[in-house]
Amino acid sequence: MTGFNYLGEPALVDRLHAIRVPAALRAPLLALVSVAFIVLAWWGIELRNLSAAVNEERVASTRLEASRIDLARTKVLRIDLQAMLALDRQLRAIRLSGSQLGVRLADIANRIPQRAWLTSIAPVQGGMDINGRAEGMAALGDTIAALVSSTTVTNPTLIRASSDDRADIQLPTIAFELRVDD
Amino acid sequence: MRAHALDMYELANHNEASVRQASALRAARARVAADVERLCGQASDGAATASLLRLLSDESKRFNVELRSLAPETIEAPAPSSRRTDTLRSFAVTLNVRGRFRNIVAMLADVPRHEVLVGVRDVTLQTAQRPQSGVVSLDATVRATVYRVGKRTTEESHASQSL
Repeated sequence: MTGFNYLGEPALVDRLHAIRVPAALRAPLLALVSVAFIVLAWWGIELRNLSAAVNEERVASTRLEASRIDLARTKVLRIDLQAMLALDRQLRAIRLSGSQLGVRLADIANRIPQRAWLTSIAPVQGGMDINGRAEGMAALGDTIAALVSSTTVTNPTLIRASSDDRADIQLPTIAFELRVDD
Repeated sequence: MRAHALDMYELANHNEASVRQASALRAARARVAADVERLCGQASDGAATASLLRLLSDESKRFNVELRSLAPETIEAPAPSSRRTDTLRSFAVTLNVRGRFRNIVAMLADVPRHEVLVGVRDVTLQTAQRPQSGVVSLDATVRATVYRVGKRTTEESHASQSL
């Protein structure tokens, strides 16, 4: 036989009210509900923190990426500047090359004493080869002594010295060859 | 995650501190580029040779030195060492000049200071006339290198200026 409930379903609140929780279970149940609430609240807070951290990381990552691109450009700029400076130094050294050589030649020539003169100056590996004539060994000694005090060359070394007894030379002279270092 | 973000912030701050020097670097490069432009000489070997001949002719008159011969060498002279060695092209020339010591030295010092980029490598001096004859003339064999700055530098310079 089919039964009909003409009163309809009772409301949820009424049904809850109808539940009778035994007294012994009320305290544990309340504790369980409280714990669940705390855990849910904590989880919510953590979710929010996580979302903020993700957002913060994304912003930092974007900023870092932009700064890396700028840094790469700056590095290219720095490398280019260093190369330009190296080229500039080379060009300046080339522009000064004649002066440096001129100063050295003038310094050598100015230090040669009255009783000696040069016949050739030639560059050699690590220094210069100087050939000349001197009116005797004393004049040659003066020449070497004068070159010792030079600021543009160092270590004057006598390679050879011999009497120059050619017929076209009126005074007895010494032909000499010296080597000076850079 | 926060620690990672903090690390990235610190790195970005460090990068940005370096990037802040970029404007100073740009200004410095502009100054150096202008200086290189002023010093770099002729743009082609032909132009450099033509200018060199004019220069030597003028200088020999100015310093009263006789230019006796000029011989370009076929071997490419090595440029001074650099990362951009290939941008500094060069060819060697040997000059023979005759004159008084003081005039030759003055000419050697002056030649590299003109429009043509000439580096004087070395010089060999020998007496041409004996002291007894009055004026002491010297024969000087001058080995020089004529440089020109390659086009690549200019192009690179323009490309990096757009950064």
